[in-house]
This record gives sequence, C-alpha cells and structure tokens, in this order.
Amino acid sequence: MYTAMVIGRLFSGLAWLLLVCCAACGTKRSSESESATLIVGRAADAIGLDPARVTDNESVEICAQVYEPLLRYRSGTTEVEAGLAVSWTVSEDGRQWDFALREGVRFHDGTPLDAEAVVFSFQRQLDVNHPYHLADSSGLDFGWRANYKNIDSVEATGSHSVRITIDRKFAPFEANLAMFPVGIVSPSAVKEWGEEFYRHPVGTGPFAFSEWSEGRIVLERNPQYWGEMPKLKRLIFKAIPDARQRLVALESGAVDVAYSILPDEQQFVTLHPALTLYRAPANNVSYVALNTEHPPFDDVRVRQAVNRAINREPVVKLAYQGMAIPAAGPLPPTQWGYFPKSFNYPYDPARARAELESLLVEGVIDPEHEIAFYVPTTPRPYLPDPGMVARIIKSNLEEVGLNVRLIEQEFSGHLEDLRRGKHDMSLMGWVGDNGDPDNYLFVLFDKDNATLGRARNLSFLKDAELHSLLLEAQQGRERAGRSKIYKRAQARIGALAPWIPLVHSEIAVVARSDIQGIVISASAQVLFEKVEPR
Amino acid sequence: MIVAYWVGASVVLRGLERGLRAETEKQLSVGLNLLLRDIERLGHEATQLSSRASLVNGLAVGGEKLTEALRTESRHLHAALIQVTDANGEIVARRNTSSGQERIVGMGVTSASLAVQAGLTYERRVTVERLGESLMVRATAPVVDDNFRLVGVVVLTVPLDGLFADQIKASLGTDVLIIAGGDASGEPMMSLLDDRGARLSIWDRPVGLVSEISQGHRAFENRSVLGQPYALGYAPISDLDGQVAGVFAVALDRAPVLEARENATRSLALGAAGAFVFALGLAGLLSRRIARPLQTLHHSAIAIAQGDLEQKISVAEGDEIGDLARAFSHMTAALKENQRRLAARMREIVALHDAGRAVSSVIETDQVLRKVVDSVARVLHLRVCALWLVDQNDEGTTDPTRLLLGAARAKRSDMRTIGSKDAVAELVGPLRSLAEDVAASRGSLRFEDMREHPKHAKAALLATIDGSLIASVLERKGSVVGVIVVGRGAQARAFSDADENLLSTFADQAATAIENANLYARVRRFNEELEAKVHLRTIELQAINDELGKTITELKETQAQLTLSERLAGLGQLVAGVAHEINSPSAAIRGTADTLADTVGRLSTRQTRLLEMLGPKGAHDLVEFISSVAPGLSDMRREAPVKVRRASRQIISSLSERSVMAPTASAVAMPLAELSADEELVAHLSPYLGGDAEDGRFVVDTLKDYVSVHRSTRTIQDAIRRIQRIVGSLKSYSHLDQEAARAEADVHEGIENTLVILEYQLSRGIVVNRNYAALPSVPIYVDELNQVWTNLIHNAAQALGGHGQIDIETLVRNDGIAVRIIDNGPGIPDNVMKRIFEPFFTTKAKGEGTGLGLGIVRQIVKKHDGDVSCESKPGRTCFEVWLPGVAALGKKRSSRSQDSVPDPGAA
Repeated sequence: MYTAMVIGRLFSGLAWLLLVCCAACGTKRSSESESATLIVGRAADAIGLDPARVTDNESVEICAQVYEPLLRYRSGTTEVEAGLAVSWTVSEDGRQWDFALREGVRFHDGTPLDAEAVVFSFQRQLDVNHPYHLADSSGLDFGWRANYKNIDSVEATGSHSVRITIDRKFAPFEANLAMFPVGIVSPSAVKEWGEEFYRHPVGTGPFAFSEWSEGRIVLERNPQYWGEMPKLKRLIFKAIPDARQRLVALESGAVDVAYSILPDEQQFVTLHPALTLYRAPANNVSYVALNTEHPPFDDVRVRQAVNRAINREPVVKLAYQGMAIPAAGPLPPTQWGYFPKSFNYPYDPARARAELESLLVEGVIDPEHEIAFYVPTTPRPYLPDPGMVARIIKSNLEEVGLNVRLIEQEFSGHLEDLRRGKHDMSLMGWVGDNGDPDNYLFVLFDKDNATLGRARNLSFLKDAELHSLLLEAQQGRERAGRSKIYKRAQARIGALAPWIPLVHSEIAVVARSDIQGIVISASAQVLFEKVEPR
Repeated sequence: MIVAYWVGASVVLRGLERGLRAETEKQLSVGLNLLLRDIERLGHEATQLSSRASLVNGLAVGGEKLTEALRTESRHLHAALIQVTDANGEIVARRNTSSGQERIVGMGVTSASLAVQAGLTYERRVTVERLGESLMVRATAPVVDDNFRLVGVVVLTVPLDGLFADQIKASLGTDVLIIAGGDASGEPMMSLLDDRGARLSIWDRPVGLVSEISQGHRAFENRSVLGQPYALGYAPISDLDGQVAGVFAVALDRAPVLEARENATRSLALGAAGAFVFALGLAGLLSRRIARPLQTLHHSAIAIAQGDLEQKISVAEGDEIGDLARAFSHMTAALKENQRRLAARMREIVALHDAGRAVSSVIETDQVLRKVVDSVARVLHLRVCALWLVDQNDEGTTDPTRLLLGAARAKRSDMRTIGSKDAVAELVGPLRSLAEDVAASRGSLRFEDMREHPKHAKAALLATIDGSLIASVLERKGSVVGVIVVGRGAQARAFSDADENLLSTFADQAATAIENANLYARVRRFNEELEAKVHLRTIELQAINDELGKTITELKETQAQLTLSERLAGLGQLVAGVAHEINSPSAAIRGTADTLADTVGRLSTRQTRLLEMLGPKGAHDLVEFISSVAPGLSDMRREAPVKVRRASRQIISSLSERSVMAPTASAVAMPLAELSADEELVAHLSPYLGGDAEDGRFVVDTLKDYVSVHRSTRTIQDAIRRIQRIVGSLKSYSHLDQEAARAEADVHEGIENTLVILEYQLSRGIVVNRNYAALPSVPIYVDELNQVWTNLIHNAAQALGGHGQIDIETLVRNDGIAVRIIDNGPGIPDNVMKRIFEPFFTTKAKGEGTGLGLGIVRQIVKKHDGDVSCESKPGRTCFEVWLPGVAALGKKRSSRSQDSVPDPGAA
C-alpha cells in the first residue's frame, strides 16, 4: 500500500513537472523583432506622403524618414551637411551650385539614384508643364515651394552631377536644399503610381514605406541605407486623436512614444516612473509687432519703454502652462547665429512708466490716443492661447499708463489687416522654415518685406543700415562670417526695438522610460535613427 | 531520480514564485498609478480653487470674507490642508478639511517654502516632499485677478499617511506601504492592521534593497509580518526633479502559495525517494489501483493547463494522491479566484473605457446617459440604477433642487431587466426626494440597509431597494450637474469601499459626458440659429452686394472719364506745344516766301540787262556759272565783319592781278567777301567784270540773288522738315497709326519722341542729358508709356522752374529695364512724398492739373507689371520706372496669386 502511494507521488511529481513546463513554455516572452519596433502615438494621421505636396506635420514626419534631400541638417542642429550630395561648390557670382551625387545609392524600389532622378524631382515641382507636375499643388506658391522661386534651372551635368542655377547670390539657399520638400523621389515610382504616389512613397531614406491603413503607417528599416544604419527594424505611427487615450496607450505599452500630451498631464508624466518627458524648443517665436509708422511707436523711445513694461512670467506660466521660454530677441537659442543680448530690456515697470510719462510731457504720446492692439482669436502652434496673452499684455501696458484697445478676429482676417498696416501693435508669431537666420531676420525686419499689402515685416521697420547688413549676410559664403553679421543685425534690431519679443514655445514628447536614445531635432521631431531597441 | 527530483522541484518552485512575482509587479504598477492619479487630482483641485471668483474677491477684501470663501469652495476638495497667501507670500487663510483632522500636525507651508515661492512666479506645480518622518504631496497654484495680476497663492497639502494608504488599498485590493526617504528611513505608513485591528506602525527597513530603490529601480522581497508570510514589491516615488523622495510598496499574502509549494515539494521528494527504492515492476502490479486516479489527475492537470478551471478532481483516496488532488483543487480554486478578480477588474476597465468612449464620441445626451446607467448597472450588479440631471435653463444657470430623470434601469425580483421605460421611471420615481437631498447637501450617501434609513426607507422600498444603496453627486467644475442612485436587493452583498470608489469614477465620467452632450446640444442650437441668421444676412448682403456692384460700375465709369479728362488735359498741353512748334517754322516760311518772290521778280528783269551787257553767249555762260556755284555759296556761313573786310582786300588785289579796273574791283569786293567767295570763284568771275563799277556790281548782285533764292529754298525746306518731324512725333506719340497692343519696342524711341514734343516746355535754362544703355526691346504699350515719360519729364521741368538739369538714364536690371528721370530741383517734401502716387493729389495751383499725373503713371506702369518708385532729397529727385522683360514677365505672371496663399511660416 505504501509503495503504491510512493509511486503515486512519483507520478504526481512527474505530472507537476509536466504542468509547470507547459505553463513555463506558454508564457515565455518571445520575438526579438518586437524589441526592435518602435510605435509612435500621434494626434492625427498623415494626409499624404509626397514631399512635393505635404503641408501637415504628421506627413512631414514620415517624409523625413522615407526621403532625403541633397543636403541635410546635422543631427540635432540647424547646420547643413552633405546628404545625397557628397560635395558641392558655388560659383564666384553665387548663382551656380554644382552638386556631386553620392554613388551607388538606390531608391527603395531599386531604381538607382542619379542626376536624372534629381532633375526629375525638382522639375516636377517647378515646371507646371512637366508631365508629372501635380495639379493640386501647382505653382510656386504651394506650401513651402516659395523657398525655391529663385531657382532658374536644374540640369544634369553628368551621370552623378547636377547644377542648380539661382537668380542671384543667396547664401540661405543652402539651408533650403536641406528641407523636406526637395526630398528626392524615385522617378520610376512616380511614373508607376502617378496621382497615387502620395500613398506609395519611395525614396532613399533610412526607412522604407511598408503599409498605411486606418491611421497606421508602418515603415521598415532600409537594409541598403548608405548612412548610419538605424538600430530599429520597424517604425509604426498610430493616429490616436484623443490626448488622454494617447497617454493611456503609452502607460499600457501599446505605444512607446506619444506626442502632444496635454500640459495638465505633464506633471503626472514627470512623476511616473515608467515614463519620461522630453521637452524641446519648437523653433518659433511669438511677438508683439509695434508699428513704427504709427504714433506713438514711431518714436524709438516709446518702443524701448514698452519693452520694459511686459512681464513674461505670467505669459510663460499661465498662457503656455510652462511650455515656453521667454524670448529676448527674434531667434530661438537653438538657431545658429543666435545673439543672446538682442533685446536688452529687463522687466522694469517703474522705469517704463517714468520714461513714458516724460514722453507724454514732451508731447510724443497723445494721452487721448487709444492704441489699437490687433489680436487673433485662432490658436497657433506658437500661440496656444492668444486671448490670454493679449490680456496680460494689455494689463501690463495699462499699468504703465497707456490706453489699449483689443481688436480680435480670426486668423486670416487678422493677417490681412496686419499686412495692410492697420494696427498700432499686433500679436503674431513665426515658425522657422529652413534653419537659416535669414528666414527670421530678413523676412521679419527688412525693408524689402515692408510693402503694404504683403508685408511680413509687420513693424514696417525700414532701416538702411539693417538692410545692408542683411543683404551682406545673404551674400556671404562662410557661416562664421555670416554669423558675425547676423549678430550685428540682431544688436541693431534690439536697439531699434520694433517688437516686444514674447516667448519661444516648446514641444513635449513622452516616451516609455525603457526606450533609450530619444533625441529631438531642432525642427522639433524625434530623430528615430538614434533610438535604441529595448 | 534525485536529479529528476531537483530539476522538478526547482521548476515547480520557480514557476510558483514567478507567478507570485508577476502578480506583485502588476499590483505595484497599478498601485503606483493610483497614487499618481491622486497626486494629479490634487494639482487639478489647486488650479480649480485658484480660479474661483469668490476666492479672488475674498483675497481682495480679506478677513471674514476670505475665510467664508475658502470654507465654501474647499468643501469638496481631497486636500487635508488648504492654505492661501497674499501677493507677498504671507499666509492669510488656512483650512483643515474634515478628513484631515487626525492627520499630521504641522504639515503646512510657510511663506518661505518652495511651494509658495513657485506660486509667486505664477507657477502651477505638484511636488512630493519629505517633511520629518513622512511624505507630503503639495499642489500650488497662483491666484490671479481679471487682469492677470497675481493676488495670492493657494497651496493644497495631502500627507501620504495611513489614511492615504487605506484609500489606495480600497481600489487596489492589496495592502500598501508608504515610507519617506529614498533610503526608506522615514516612519512607515501602512494599510496593514495588527491582530487587534489597530494600524501597524513598525516595519524593519528593507536594508538590502535600499540602494537599488534609491537608484530608481524596483525591488522585491518576501518577509513575514506578525507571523503571516508576505511578498513585497517596492518602487521609488520620485519628485519632479527625478530625485527619489520615498518608497511605495505593496504587500501580497503568500500563504496560499506557500501551502501549494509545501504540497508540491512533499510529493516530489517522496515520489523521488520511493521511486529510487522500488522498481517500476511493482507499478505493474498496482497499476490498476493507481492508474485510474493518476489518470484522472493527469487529465485534470492537462485540462487546467489548457485553462479549464472548472475541472474538479474527485480522487477519494486518503493517501498522498488524495492530498495531491486536494492541493490541486486548492490551486484551481486560487486560480479561479484570481481569474474572477481579474475578470471583475477587466469588466471595470472595459466599462470605464466604454464610458470614456461615450464621453469622447458624445452625440446625444440621452444616449450617453443610457450608456452610463447600463455600464454602472452591469459592473456593480445592481437592482436599481437611476440618474437625475439638474435642470438647466437656456442661460446655463442651474437650480440643484430641480431634478429631471435622465436615465434609469431596474430589475425585477427575478433579476430580469424591466424593459419598459415608463415602468422603470415609475419605479424609481420615489427616489427623487432622496436624490434632491443629496444634490442639495452635495455629499454622497451610502447606506448598508435601506430598510433602516430614518427618512428614505419607504421610498427605497417602493423602488425595490431593500438592501444597500449609494447616492452620489455628479460634479463638473465645482457645480452639481446630477445625482446617480444605485441600489441592491437584501440578498445581495452590501456595497464596499471599492464599489463606492468605482461609482465615483463613473460619476466623474458621466458628469463630463453630460456636460459635453449639453454643450453639443447648445452648440447645435446656436448653430441652427446662426444658420438662420446667416441666411438672413446673406439675403441682405446680396442686396448690398448688388448696390455695391452698381456703385463700382459707376465709379469705374467716373474713373474712366477722369482718366480721359486727364489725358485730354495732357493733350491740351501737347497741342499748345505743337502749335508753338509749328508756328515758328511756318512764320519762317512766310517771311522767306515773301523775300523769295521779290528776288525771283528781280532776277527776271536782270536777265534782259545781262543780255545787253554780255551778249547771248556771255550771258548764258555767266548764268550757267552762277547757277553752279550758288547752291554751294548758300551753304556758307556768314563771316564776322573783320574777316569779311580782310577777305574783300584780298579779292581787290586778286582782281587787280586779273586786270579788273580798280573802281569795279572795289565795288564788287565787299559783296563777294560777304558771299565767302574764294580765289577760284573770283578767278572764274573776273572775265565778266570787265565793264565799269556799276556793271560789275550788277553781275555780283545777280550772283547774290541766286544765292538768296537757294538760301530761302533751304530755309523753307528746313521749316517743312521741322513741321513734318513734329507731326510725325505727334503721330507716333499718340499711336494713331497703331493698334493698342503690347509689343516689343524700343523705349528710347518713345522717350525721344516725348522730348521733341516737350521741347518748348524745356526752356533754354534746362539742360537734358541722356545716358542711355544698350537696352533690349521689352513688351510695352507704346502710347501709354509715352504718357508716363511726358508726365515725369513735365513734372521734372516744372520742379526746375526754368533752370536746371534733367538726366535721363536707362539701364538693364532684374530681367528688365529701368528708366530714371532725375532732376536737380528742390526735391519733394516728406509730407508730400507719401502721397504723390495718390490719384487726385497735386501740388499744382488750381487749374494747372487734375492731379492724376503720377496716379496715371503708376497705373500704366502697373499695367506693364512694372514698378515705379521715387527717391527725393534737395538737389536730386529721381523717379525710376522698372519694366519687366519677357523672361521676368513670365515668372511674375505665374506668381500672381502669391498673397492669397497663407505663408507656411506664419501659418
């Protein structure tokens, strides 16, 4: 009897063993590929993946992985380096740009990258008569294409050499060639897909397009990539419109990275041990433009005084919920050529008040005049709560004795009125396009951009000295030299005080803490090639 | 066999431990999340409180008003302590909430605290900080007035103490510990109770794990507490700066696992030992006895492994196989229990998710309410669930005592759902007064047995709730929007803390959903009204538009007329000039024609006298000779008198040599010299001067008359040419001979024509310098452009007032050509400069011009897609007209719509 029991035990032991083994096998976590996949949760889906046609951030983000322009930004900076072109030279008069293309590069569909492909990519955008020119994005005014208006011709000068001729010496052109709209596309794919190319993108980038359905875009590592091989095998972008759902997906591990987390949730994320919050400047500026052609801002002393009257602390902490840094000039600190002491007017309401009072006595300020402050009602990426910002500024100015009247309207009407110079002062912002200081300084302060009706220089500052500095910088060759000129230009702008610079806003990216190597580029995108698999 | 035992034992044990470990990790994650949500909620409460108008007013007034505001506004907050400071950071009010009375003394902040200082810089923040032996969560928010001026700061504090641990335990179902300090050196705060039911307060530091936890990692251990075995998971609690501020832990009961393990170990050990002694042969003998239960066991094991937890093992033997079977049953029961709990939590999560989805996909209030009620009823196993809404009028104001039934659900005693909506509404009707009480007091009500409720027992019974009941208010942004009442029958389990918790979560969700739905409904209503208004306005606008269209047409006509009148005015000036120009040559012709008639008359009479003097041959030869030299002589310039006298002396001596008599020579020398006669002519003429002085003079006078005829002819020809030139210029100026089409043409030609026509206006004091470059032909409207040159040159001339210099420069620039008209006049004053291109603007005296001059210039240049600009300073005023070439024109055309497209940068 005892024996039987013992044998029973033996078998039961074996049964246990079996059971446990089964259980162990069943739960064992497998699949290496999962660890080399990164899933990104975004607020919206892409609209189209043809670099010639995109305007939304979600599409741009994918295009940046699939396509490459001739030049590119050095990882994490606004500085330009070789991309699909290994080297380039500029003629003495600054008009002819010769590019030597990288040899042996192929598009994801196997088509070789050569001069013809580059010419094709440019011509289909620039030439309205090109057989593959797209009707819906026609003309030089579509999207970012205005940056390429100055191109006179693009021609192949050899199998792997291309010459681009522009209308005059213009150093910032280099930066324009590193922007996504001039990503080189596979001519054979464009010919094959025609109008449908935007759903079947083919480029030379580190990731190749794999599939796109119902808000989910899958990219696979390009095994033939010429540059630094990405460590991730697969990138998946998922559209999750609701911000809370995005955070829940992140907490549960359904996505690894999420964008546009509500400012309210950021403290939760910061305290959460499994999540990491990355903040990065978003390459923009918000500002108040003071119309230098309208009294009282036609007097530089008034402009300087109001610069001392604005307290940026409530602007940053309340209107931007902490997601911004105060601005002391037009350029964000991440931009090369940044000069930290441009607008040197620390907050000092007592001094501002005293200065304005003496200007009142002098007759420069009309005590009866109500300053017309034009404000948009539509939030912008650089201005999430324009109404609150406007009220803070109004209250600041009233504190130093000025009468301010708000004129609020939706954005397009606002912009139109500003361009016509109707405002005494106005609330606006700017997002940098190409990573060149020219894109901020020339566009926003030069007298050439102060033409009523299409002005971008909304303070209508017309300063000859500044004009010559900005032109000189456009024609410079070396970044160091240009940088010096831009510093002088910023000092000049600061002294003339045509703006009240407000803030540079920031973006937040949240990732699970076990994801290493998250770096955010100067154009506020995650550099996926740096991300490590788990 | 021993080896097999060890392998088996270790696999079994590891499997069990791993299962427990996984459960611990999971509980730790969920627990930590609950903790973080509570912390986050405190942050929201601080923000909400800081934005209360009564608090802002209270801070302005101070004293009793502030205390009162704080008391009203803080009633529903979870904070244990609320402090309010003024704009200088001085604490001016504080309030302990009821739930915080037994809590730690002295947990507040002072004006120097970081929390207050952050608030004074407008910052909102939530921090976890250590205070003495415990951890505090603090939420700060600035209080600002309507002008965003800082008027104070609110600081909310919750200690992470035993009560806090209890709350998390209520949601989590597992005991919880919180210890201050990254090294777990603080006093442990626990939900664990000792044998007598008092809170446990002694805990040995997990010394071996401290370094791991303080580096931000999780750590696990097993330990015995009051004789009970526990599995513990520790996780760091980090502050905003990433520093570890304390330790959070969950404690899972290990007893069931240990029991299973003991059984398994015993089975394996004895099994191995037994097997070692007895050969398998014996097994054959006893197989019948053993095989069946073992087989059952085996099948069950496999079934369980496949997930069938309903498997029961019916092995009757009281031996070890029986023990094993019991252990097995234990295990399946434990697994089942876990599965049940898991399923319950899953259901909750799914329900919450559903409710959440309902919130985000809100469409109709009714639908949302039904969804909420259904979810609550399903998850909480309710007999009755009813949701009332606070009546909200159109202005959005509410009266919390007026409730409307939103949705309800109820079951019969046989637990079947009542389908009829009306029947349900009637059933839950009696609960309304209870709901109104709850809404008015803003509290929640939980009663274990409604049959004993002093006030609402009858109502509850009518609504078939004879068991426990919870009534909870739905709050949104501090105001009550509804009440949800749930009830169970007497047979059902009374509601637990967890149930209440879950219900309050639902209530939050529902409140959000209802608010969204209401907003949606209002938006829709507004939208409809708006559409109606838009329609009306559209009709009005249409009428205005028609009006405007008419006005614009009229304006256009007026403008056309004005343009015409300006051009006519220009033409008037022009005609005056032309008349003047033609006048002088025609005067010349008239004058010359008169003399010519005289001379010709005279010549015919001379003919007869010459015949008499020289005979037919001589007269013929002389006339022949004179006719041949006269045209040449008529071209000669008149010499100065001194020179003439010198020449006449020479002629006298020359004639003397040719034996002409002295008186004759003297008489003819002077007229010949005046005709600039040379030696050769004198030599040829001398044979005819053989007679006396009078005859000689006659011959020379004849010559003179001949020359005079030629001179007059030449003058008339010149005058006619001049008139022709003027008429030609006028013709090409106004292009009467061409279609008004844009054609490539030479700009210089137009400028020159203009200069000809304006010649009389450019008085002698004005010098015109031309500095022309080699220009390509550009596409222009020639006649219109001539108007541009006329206006610009005319203005320049007027500015000069009779004396000065006009420079006309042309150059190739920017794919086009530029023409500059520069005068050195006094310049244009600044105040005038701004307006010069305005139509009708003029500085001329009344009657001098309509003022359209430069306006027209700009209009015409614009028509050419060109640019006109002006720079002026005293001594140099330059108007520059730029006209695009063919290439530039193509480019410009294609970028016409530029401004209608928003910039990518600014957009």
